[in-house]
Amino acid sequence: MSSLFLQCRYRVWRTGDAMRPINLSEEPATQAQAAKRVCAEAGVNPADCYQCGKCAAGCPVSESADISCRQVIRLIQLGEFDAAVTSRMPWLCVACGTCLARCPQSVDLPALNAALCREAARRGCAAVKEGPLFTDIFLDNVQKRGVMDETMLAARFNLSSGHLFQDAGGAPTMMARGLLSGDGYRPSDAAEVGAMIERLRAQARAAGASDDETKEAQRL
Amino acid sequence: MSRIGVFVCRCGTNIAGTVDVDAVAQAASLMPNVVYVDTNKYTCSDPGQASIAEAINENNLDHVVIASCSPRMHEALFRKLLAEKTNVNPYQLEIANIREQCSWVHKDKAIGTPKAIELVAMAVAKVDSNVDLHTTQIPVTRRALVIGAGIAGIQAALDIADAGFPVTLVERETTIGGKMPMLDKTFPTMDCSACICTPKMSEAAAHPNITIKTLSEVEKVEGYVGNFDVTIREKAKYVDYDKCTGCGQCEEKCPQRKIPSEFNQGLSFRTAVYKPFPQAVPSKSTIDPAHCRMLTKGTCGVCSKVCQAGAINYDDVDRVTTERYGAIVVATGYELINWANIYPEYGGGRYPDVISGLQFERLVNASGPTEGHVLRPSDRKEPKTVVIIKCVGSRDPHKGVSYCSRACCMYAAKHAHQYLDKVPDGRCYVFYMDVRCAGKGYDEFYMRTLQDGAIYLHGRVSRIYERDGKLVCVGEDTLSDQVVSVNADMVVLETAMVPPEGAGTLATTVNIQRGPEGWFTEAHPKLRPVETNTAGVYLAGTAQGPKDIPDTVAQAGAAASKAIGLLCRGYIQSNPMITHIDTAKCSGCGACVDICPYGALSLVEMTARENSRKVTRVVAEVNAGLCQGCGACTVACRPGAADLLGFGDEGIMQEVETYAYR
Repeated sequence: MSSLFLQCRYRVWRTGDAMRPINLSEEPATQAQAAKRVCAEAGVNPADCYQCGKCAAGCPVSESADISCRQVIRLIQLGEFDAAVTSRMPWLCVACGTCLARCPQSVDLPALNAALCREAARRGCAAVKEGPLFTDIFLDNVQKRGVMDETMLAARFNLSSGHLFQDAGGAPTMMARGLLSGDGYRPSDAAEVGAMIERLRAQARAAGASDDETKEAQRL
Repeated sequence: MSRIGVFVCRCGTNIAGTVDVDAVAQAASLMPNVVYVDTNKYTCSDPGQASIAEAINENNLDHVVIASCSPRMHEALFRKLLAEKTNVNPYQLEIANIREQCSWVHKDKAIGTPKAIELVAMAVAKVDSNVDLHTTQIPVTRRALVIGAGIAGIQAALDIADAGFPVTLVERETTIGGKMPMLDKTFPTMDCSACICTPKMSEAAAHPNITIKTLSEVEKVEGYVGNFDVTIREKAKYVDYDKCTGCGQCEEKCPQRKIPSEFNQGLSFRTAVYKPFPQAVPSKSTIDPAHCRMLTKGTCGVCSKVCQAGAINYDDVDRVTTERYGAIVVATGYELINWANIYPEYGGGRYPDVISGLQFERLVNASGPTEGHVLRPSDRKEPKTVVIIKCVGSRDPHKGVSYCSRACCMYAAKHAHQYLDKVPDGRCYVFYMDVRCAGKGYDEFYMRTLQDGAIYLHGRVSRIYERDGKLVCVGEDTLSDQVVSVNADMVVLETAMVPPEGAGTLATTVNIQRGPEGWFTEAHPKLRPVETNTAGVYLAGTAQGPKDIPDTVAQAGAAASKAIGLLCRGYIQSNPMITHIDTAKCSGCGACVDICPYGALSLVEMTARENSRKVTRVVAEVNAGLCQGCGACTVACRPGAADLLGFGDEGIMQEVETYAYR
């Protein structure tokens, strides 16, 4: 029942109306170029995937997703790259690596999902609108302290996203167990971690700026 | 008084578990004429056999009943025992099957034991009326006939000829080779098909033991295993092959130039006097009487004028010969389903750029009509988007055939690979239902095609229509749950293999069976895959069912080895359990002749002396070589003249009476 629901949702999401046929020959070439670039960034060859579905069957977030991780790669194979970039699946991926560990063809789906998220962020078309925001806050958080500080992370995310009380219900229990320490722990090499993250973010910004295609896509 | 011995087997607990074997033995000892009864744990074992032989010889037994497993299992073994270790005729043996049809199907001894006793009693009653039978040796004509000269027929002929036996290779087309020389490359190794096939063709032509008869068909087969009298019609070629040098002058001058070439699948033209392709074997020209102006209208004669060898003979006639062969290999191959008639949704042949896989083979072949450049038939332009559709006709019980044609998955992958190799900026979409690549190196080949960039779409194409000069193929990709369409420049249909025209007639002529799809039936799908139900007739290649070239060649070798085995032995042991006609009772009605599935019965005139007068009557006669002992005639015979030796009416009636009145 739920899969049927997801399927319907997927169709409606994909095309705006149920089962509108797509013409594979009429998709613009920019899609193929973008797909090639993003797949190269992820180190994934979509032709490796023969769609057995072993990844999707073991995916812990499939219940919440619009399309399965198998379908993400299927869309890329078909040249429907924009549909893959604008799907929710890459944002929901927790990079647990179950799919990769089980994949007979060693397709690195977590890497592909991450690359799709970056592409969506560059284009400003993230299907989970809080996704890029969370990523930024998370990186800031780690960059500053050298380690993740859950309390600060949650507080900043809730304030920025407007979901003021998201997950707040769990706070008392966590506090009672000492999980929200707030003791300001900083690892000794925190500065080094911060520098590393800054370096990588600068690199990503530079890559994004030089990427005319992406700008073109953003403009469109 | 006969002396019957009964031996009851326990078969471990197989029989003893649900049949009280001692009670059966006790009951058997009271049956008429039974003078000796014994039981054994395993009768078929060496000690078990030895004890039977010893008992027979010591007690002077002349009839033997063994109550054990099915006669299919061990009857031959026990017959051999009687023949070799005792003086009892091997046909004075009856097997009471108390295992497969008794102990195995019942759960308790209360049912199993009385049933076993009844079965033994019936066997005892029947064996009493058995008569001595003797086998004879029938000599085998040490020559083989191979029908069909594709790669299967050629391979079988070469193998038999190499073993030292003369072979006649019959082919109905003008050249041997069949479909294989038409193919461009062979999967998965991508060897050039013609390059590996034509040397075999030449080898067959040059082999001292092989006689090739092209444009020939088998008209009649009489006789039986070891001695088939085969009538072959060699059609008029209108060219004297002894004189023709194959120079091709006639072809150059022939004014009839617009005949679609069969070899190029209609993608180019040939002349009326022609050789289908340069490496054809025999390398001689033939006149096609349906298109030759001289033969149809009586005016032309150009080829005759230009032929320096004087080989043209417009008055040529068919030659019919009858020869005797010991074994026959049927290798008549396949043809592709006529998709245009059954798939109007794919254009039904209206679009010249919707082609079959075999046409694509000619298009990519360097010696084909486009010299190996992939150019679509309509305007000779390079197609930039090609759609390949698999299972066209196959696995489609509604419009085509229900079976899988087995080779298409691989050649579809090969076509995609070849196209992407020749047109690097091209796009190739393959619509498929399954990808079946079971074979050495096959799946690796398919995976390589995916890496080449072929896009496989899981679903059948629903419709092809033309729009703005493109062939729009609409199908569903069930993997993405999307109806998709592709604007193709050319569409390749991987069509089903079907039995060739005339397979049914040949089956009747050679007397072999066909399955529901029309392929020739093997004697056993697993254990006798190249034999047929007619002894001495073997199957090779796709005549038996769709298969690829490696399997075809392997099967041809297997068929050849079976034929060689028969020819090497030089004789066949006749089965003595055949029909016997009591000519005194026979009324000559011919009912048996009509019903006999093996053609073993015929009506002959017989002169007999009746009341001191000579009279001539028509009676039925049995051909001992053909009769398989099925017994159909004994049932059809109204006067009761036909009787099956070893299963005589008397013995059967004894069995029935014993069962009924016990």
